[in-house]
Amino acid sequence: MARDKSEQKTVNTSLRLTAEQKTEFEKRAKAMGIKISSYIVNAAWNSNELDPKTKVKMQNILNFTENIVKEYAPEQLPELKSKRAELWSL
Amino acid sequence: MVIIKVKRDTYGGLRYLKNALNYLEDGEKSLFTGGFGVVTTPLEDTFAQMVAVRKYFGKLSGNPLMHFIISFDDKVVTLDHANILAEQLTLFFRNEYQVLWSVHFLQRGCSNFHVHIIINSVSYINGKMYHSSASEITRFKDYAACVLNSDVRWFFA
Repeated sequence: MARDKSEQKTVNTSLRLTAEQKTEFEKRAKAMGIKISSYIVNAAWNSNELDPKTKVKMQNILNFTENIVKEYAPEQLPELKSKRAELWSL
Repeated sequence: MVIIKVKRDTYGGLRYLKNALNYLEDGEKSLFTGGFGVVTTPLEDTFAQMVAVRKYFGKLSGNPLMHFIISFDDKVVTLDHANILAEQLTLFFRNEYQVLWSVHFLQRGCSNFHVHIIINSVSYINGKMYHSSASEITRFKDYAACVLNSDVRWFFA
């Protein structure tokens, strides 16, 4: 399925970096399995947001917690669920 | 013999993702639902969390999901056993993708249980799309054969 036009990357620009910055960004991009350009764009575009990898980790912890709360303190579930919504808005 | 049916939508977009999640959580058919990187209920939250990952990486369009339906053979006769196997099968995807799975009961031939596994096709690690090539599906098939200790066949639905 073709990507929507609004998500197609059709413009480019160049960046000036220090050698150290380039080396570091390349290292981080490689660790994630993506190109340096994707790494920089993702980081800058989402600079005010928690990354999905962290949210997924925290959601899994919440899922585990929810099972315990369900069993031992079910009256607290609504509050736990509202905290969950907060996480995904970070 | 275990059968894996593989569904990949290329037309329905996020609406298809929502419909697929809906089907998994169907109260009449679903005996157990599990999730990794997402909540299992309510459905709106599961959907929102998958969309959030896609939005972060600028990939709201494109193939929204991969849907695997694994029909267990007659060695699997209890729900507990089906649940354990379902969870083990989803381990294959969890390092990179959000997963929702559901065990359904349906007596069909030699099979009593089958599991639906839906993965958000955008990786939460790096935003790359799941590559649904035959070789990639075969990797999962081989993994499933080890987990299930059974012959496994797969096909695109």
